[in-house]
Amino acid sequence: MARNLRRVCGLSLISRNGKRDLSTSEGKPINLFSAINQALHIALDSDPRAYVFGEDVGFGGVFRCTTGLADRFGKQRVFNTPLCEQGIVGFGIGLAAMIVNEAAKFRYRSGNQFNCGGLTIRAPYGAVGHGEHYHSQSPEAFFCHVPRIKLYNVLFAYVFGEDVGFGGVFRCTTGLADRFGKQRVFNTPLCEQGIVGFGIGLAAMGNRAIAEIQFADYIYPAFDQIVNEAAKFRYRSGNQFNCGGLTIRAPYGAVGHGGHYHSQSPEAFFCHVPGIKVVIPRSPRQAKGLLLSSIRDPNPVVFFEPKWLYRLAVEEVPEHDYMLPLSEAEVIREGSDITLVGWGAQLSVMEEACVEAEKEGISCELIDLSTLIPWDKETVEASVSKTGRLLISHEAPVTGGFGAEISASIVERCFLRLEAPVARICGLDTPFPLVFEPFYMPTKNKILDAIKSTVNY
Amino acid sequence: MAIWLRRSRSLAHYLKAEIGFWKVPNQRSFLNPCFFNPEKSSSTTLTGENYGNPPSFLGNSPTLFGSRRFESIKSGREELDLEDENGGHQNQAMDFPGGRISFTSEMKFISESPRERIPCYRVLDDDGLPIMHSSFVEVSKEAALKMFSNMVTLETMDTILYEAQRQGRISFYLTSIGEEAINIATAAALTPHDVVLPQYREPGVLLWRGFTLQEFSNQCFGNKADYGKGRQMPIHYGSNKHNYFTVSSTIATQIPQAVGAAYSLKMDKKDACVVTYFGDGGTSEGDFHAGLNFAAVMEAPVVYICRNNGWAISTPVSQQFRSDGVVVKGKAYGIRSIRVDGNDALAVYSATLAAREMAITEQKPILIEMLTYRVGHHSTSDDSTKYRPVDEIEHWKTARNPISRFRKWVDKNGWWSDKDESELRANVRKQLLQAIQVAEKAEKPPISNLFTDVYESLPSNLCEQEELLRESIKRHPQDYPSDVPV
Repeated sequence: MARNLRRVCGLSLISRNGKRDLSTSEGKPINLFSAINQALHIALDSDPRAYVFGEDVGFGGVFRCTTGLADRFGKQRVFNTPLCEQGIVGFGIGLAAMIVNEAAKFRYRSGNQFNCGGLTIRAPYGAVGHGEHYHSQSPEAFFCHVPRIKLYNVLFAYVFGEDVGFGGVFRCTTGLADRFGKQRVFNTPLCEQGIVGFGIGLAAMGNRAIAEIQFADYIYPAFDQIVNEAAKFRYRSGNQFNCGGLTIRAPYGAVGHGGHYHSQSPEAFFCHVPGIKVVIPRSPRQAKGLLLSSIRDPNPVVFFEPKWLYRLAVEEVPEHDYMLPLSEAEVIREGSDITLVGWGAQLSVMEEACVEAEKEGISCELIDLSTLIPWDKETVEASVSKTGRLLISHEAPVTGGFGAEISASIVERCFLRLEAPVARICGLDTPFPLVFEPFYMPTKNKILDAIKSTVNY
Repeated sequence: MAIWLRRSRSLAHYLKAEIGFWKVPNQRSFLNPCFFNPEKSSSTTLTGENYGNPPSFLGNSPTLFGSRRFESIKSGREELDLEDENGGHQNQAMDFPGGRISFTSEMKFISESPRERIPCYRVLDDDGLPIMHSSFVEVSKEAALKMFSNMVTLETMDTILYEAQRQGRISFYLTSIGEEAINIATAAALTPHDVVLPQYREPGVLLWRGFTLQEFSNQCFGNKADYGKGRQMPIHYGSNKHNYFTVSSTIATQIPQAVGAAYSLKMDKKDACVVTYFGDGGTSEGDFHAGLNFAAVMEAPVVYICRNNGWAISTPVSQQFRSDGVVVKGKAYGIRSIRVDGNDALAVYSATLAAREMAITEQKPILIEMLTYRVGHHSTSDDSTKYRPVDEIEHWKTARNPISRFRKWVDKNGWWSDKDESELRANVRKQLLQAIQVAEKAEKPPISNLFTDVYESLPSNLCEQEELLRESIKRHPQDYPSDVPV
């Protein structure tokens, strides 16, 4: 369908000499929803296998974009759906897959045997003057990239999620149910939106709700609850209510064999949401202290745990209750030639690169950001003011990754001091591959090469 | 065991008849081991239904914790020597997680639609006369008049504030016209300690609880007295002192949250429940499924009230679902449900009272489907004559009006008169117009409120942004509304 549409548009724009001429002299001034309406008419007209569907599109839609379509093309091609966005998109994926022969990965994961390229998801976005929280968001950014917890100190704390009862798939919750009882540590049904929604309600009543999402890859069904509910709970109520007691834990990141759905680093999606905190520990000692801080922080926190390190990393961890501060970056290696910033498991890779760089006479300063939002700009700025160079590394795909925010902020603050462009050594812009994982990852040598070229710029 | 089963089967038959409600005292302790522990006092009938203890219809003791949550994986039941009612072979059954399932050699699909739709409970007929033999809770004159005047107040408030939007004085509004009985009568059946998680068409619950016309107006105008501090669109009310969670525009998100809140009440052993509302459209959302399933598994004391008003903006229920409405969905999750005439204030009141009692006593969720009609447009951004016939709207506005129906009953009891009516309406109108004037003239919240409450305390990036914004305001004051104090 998309191909047909392009063909039709292209025809009308190609001028006599065969070149694409976008400055067409034809056309009347019309507004946006009329233009969209025209496009949809053309799309349906030119392709008998095109469909338009969604909530209330039948009568023309709440913004009139679909006016006249049902009358002209019939109710089998232009139809209302039930009130369910996940259903609308899921249905659309299935429909698109059948027409050409979980949209972004459909083609890739099937080895291009299947694709749902014919799927287009339209949604009104942006400020409208009176829409505030729920009718004004600009979401295009989204679509562009322990340890043991001590519960006895916290009277009304609960731990829940899929399979946490027996200890959880990563053993993080071992022993908790036995010790604190099944009323406080319990399994939930298999439903992330339910887990987070339930957690919000529990936290709103003054409890500490520690929810577990089994893999960060599966957090998306809960995205609405996290972005539209948890993050805005305090603000929208004028501070009458809050769900600060909510902490959502999820294993994230590469594990060597996880493929698309057991390796993702989705932190960037959440860093774009005012109202929540995103915390990522780099080691066992950090994890315990940061998790306790996150649980006790009066704001909802998304806590990503590097699954690579669950068993692999062993460190001396104090047995007592201790907390590490949020929103404070830590300089874990001092240096003078270049600043490196990272978080989670990637830091150990970066540290190896720093050690090797040292052998070649390059002194690297390594910073663990630890809290991604709100992040500690001051520490990074101070470091780059000293070194004049910055390299950021993360597993998540480079485009729209959180490295972009750090780079932009530091360029704003340290432009005149910078000796070289800010380097980002990150995952590729692909779904996380299985066999190709070693190629996808930001390896020590990729980082080392970038350190050298930045220093030699 | 056999004797007990006979009792339980008669219970099964009893339950199929129409009854009000019954209590099940349950003295089992909460911390039950879940595996391989046949409970003598629990039961699983041959049809796999689990009724817990044999019920006593006299018990009044509040039940604190149900414990059937841990019985979901039971195995090993004694062989029972009775024939079950489905004609299955009683000795040929399968032990399966969740209970015993008997086999059948007949390949029979459960029909997708019932022969008859689930009937709808009502007390008053369309003329406001009590139907013979109807079971309902008696309502005193005082209570009835309070309900009635609140319904009238709600209708008046809606009419006037809708007009205010039309006049450009507020940016947005949505009415509950046609749903006043649901709004007020459900609220009347609750106590102030019950926690309410609304969708957005239930301001009557707040009104009942004492939210004033001034407070409503303040939120609509987003002035400095608005508890929401001017951050949200009109009608997004919230009040912690009234136990009414702040409205959010997103549909059905409150449904799983209600379970979490109810679980908290349960753990604190409060004599209270959570009540949450949503429309017919909301039952299509994933959060509806998530929430009801969680509520059943967690045995949370939630009363789910679905305002099935026939329309989700322009989408009629025939395009929303193909089940027999919403009431049948409760059973799919193991939730006791009822269908009620949402325009019959007495039926709504009685059913909600009963549901609340069950939810708290038995510590489990209850689903109520209220059948009603959305007389008004979806909101001020909608013109419903574009997608539905005007005479349909008129019919529900007049012949099926919940206020006039209740009025007839109140009149027949000699409790109300035309004079009372016109006085009430005039008073409310006057108060509201006054409140609107005050709200309109009041200052907006100061600009610092743009940045506070994003987090519990201001992070450095917001301090920075506030500074930059203030500089911009100084330099270009004409870009910014003058009624927001800097």
